[in-house]
Amino acid sequence: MTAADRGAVAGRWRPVIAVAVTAVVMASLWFGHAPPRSAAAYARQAAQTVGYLRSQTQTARLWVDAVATAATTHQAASIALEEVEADATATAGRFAGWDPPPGADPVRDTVTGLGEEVTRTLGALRIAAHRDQWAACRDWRSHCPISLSGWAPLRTASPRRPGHEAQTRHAVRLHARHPLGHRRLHRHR
Amino acid sequence: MLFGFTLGTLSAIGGFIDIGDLVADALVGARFGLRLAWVTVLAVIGIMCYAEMSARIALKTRRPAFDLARSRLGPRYALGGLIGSFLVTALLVMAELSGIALALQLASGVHYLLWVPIAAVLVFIVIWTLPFEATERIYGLLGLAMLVFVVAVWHLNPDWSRMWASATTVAPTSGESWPAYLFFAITLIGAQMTPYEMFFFSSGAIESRWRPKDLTEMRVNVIVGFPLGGLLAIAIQAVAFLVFFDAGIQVEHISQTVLPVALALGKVGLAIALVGVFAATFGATLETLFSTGYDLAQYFGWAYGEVQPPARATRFTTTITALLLLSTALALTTLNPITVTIYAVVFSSVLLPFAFLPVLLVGNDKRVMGELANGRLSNTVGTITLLLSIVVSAAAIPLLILTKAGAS
Amino acid sequence: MTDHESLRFTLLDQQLVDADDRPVGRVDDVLLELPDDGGPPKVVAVLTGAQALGERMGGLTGDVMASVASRMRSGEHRGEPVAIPASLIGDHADLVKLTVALDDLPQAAGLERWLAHHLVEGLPGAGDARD
Repeated sequence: MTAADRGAVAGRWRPVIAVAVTAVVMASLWFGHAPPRSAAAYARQAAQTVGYLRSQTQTARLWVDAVATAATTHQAASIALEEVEADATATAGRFAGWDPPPGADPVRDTVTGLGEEVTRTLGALRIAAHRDQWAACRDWRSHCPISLSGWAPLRTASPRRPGHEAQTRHAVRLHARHPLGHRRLHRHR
Repeated sequence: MLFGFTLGTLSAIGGFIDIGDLVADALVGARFGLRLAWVTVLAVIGIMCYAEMSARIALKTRRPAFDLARSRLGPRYALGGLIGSFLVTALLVMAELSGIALALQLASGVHYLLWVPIAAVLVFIVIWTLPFEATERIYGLLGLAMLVFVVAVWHLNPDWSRMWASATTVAPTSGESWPAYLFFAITLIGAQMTPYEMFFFSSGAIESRWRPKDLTEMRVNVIVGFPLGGLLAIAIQAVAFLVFFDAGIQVEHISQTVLPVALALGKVGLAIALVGVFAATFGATLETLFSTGYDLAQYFGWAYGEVQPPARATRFTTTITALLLLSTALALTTLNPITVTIYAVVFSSVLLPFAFLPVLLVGNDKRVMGELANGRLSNTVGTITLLLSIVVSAAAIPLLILTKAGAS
Repeated sequence: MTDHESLRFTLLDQQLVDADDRPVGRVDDVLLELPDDGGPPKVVAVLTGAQALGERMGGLTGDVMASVASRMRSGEHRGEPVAIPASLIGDHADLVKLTVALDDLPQAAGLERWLAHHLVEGLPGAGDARD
């Protein structure tokens, strides 16, 4: 086949390939970044958001502990605390930006409430770190909004599990430990 | 001669880790424990086979691997490979450069974006002024600081039976899905079986003017260096497992990669780990830049190399500098380097079969290789690796989309 | 050249070096002449450079490559690919070795010279021989 023939064959396929690639890209954007629409998907996202917030709080706790035991420099810990605060703000903000499907308003309220508490606490931590008030950071542990005991690892509600509907309605039952009150927060399986 | 052996091997160990490993290993350890350690073992075997093959080709023909891709498989195939690897490497250089900046950020407390241009200037100065072998040795040896992760595993008093159970389970942890498990397996493969390592190793053989008599030295470097490098990668997974898994922590930053070492070994451990991260990412920046420059120069037949002064290899030097500038600009757009790293290693895994095929073909060509052509071991391992890489390449993008880059 | 050699394997896409073993480029295309007496085609010149390669590859990529390269040439040879007469080809068993030095081929490696003159030579440390 001469180069001209090859070019002609490729030319016929070019629009097909272009359309196929565009379709794949659009599909991935749709499925990847569209907000959750069903109650089940929303509950899943809620659970995942809480999981991230917990991960960020736990990370902050580890860094504060490390400073307390002189296992790390103040610079590294400050940077790390800035990072977790930024992550928590982004995570909470992303969830808050999604409209809840009908009936999921309580879930949204609890998770966004939790998100606000976490970001506020981590922000206070970051400021204390920048002011070198590490003792204040240590006191934070007793006010941590997410319970640090009895941790159940992140489980996302799977549509394949039995009792799916009942599970997703109460998929995220949250109790927050608040400095002014005593609600304890943990992820429900 | 023994000194040369040791030096080469040690730099191979230290040079194994780059930002892809630092991100992927910690992430995987925190989410899956050691259940993906087997992937590292496979990746090490595969890259050993192909690094040895491409270096052997370089010893015999005195031409590096990509050079032969165009001669044997034609300019179209080679151009496809060139463009693909160029784009992936641009992302990778940006990620490695950010890695240097992140290490400096953790050490100093100064924001990483301020370090990015400084890191770029440092890289440029090293490229411009230091000879090739010296840079390779220095960063390889400094990279040995990553051994602190192995020490940290010990100090964390692990439950060895639990670690063994995790390492021998080939299944996702409960609560994780198979697509996510397989996606991260592919991420690890992309991070650890990098084509640029292979091309770099073979181009380095030329630059160091190795000949068939250096075959043994080359093989010792491969057989000792790469597995120990793999051990470092598994150590990063292990410390992440020991500290993050039960706490449900997801790894999203380099600061989390080094946190377990700080908890285990204190400030000294943290400092050594940061030196290791700096050396690994700095060395990898140089390697990826050179590898791309080599690919382009070898494709068009230009003069290239660190050995020639810049004035005698101007297109090569200009390409590298342009790529460095492009990557710096990309890094300064505040794109998240961790996300870019994950995408870069996934795309890199897509390119794997295209990188391996010409090497396997030329390695088998008795007309070119003579008595140094592939033996049965090389061919068996090489073919199996190639077939696996085809599967990985085909599955990479669908899994990337399906799991939303590991988010679910 | 005998007529039993395969151009594809011994000439095309091989590395071109000058008399001092300095890389010149690759054999991107070959200029053949069909003699009037009906004998086998003769290699008149080897073409090198991105323009020659682009024209040989064809397709969209080839056309783009060729047009970019042709714009970068100046002088009376603008629009033509770089040609090296076959008489300058010496040994071609492994690399294609020319019998002259790069400096005697003013039309080849133009970009290299341009960059050397305008960009690289001005910077400190450019001429240091290393290793």
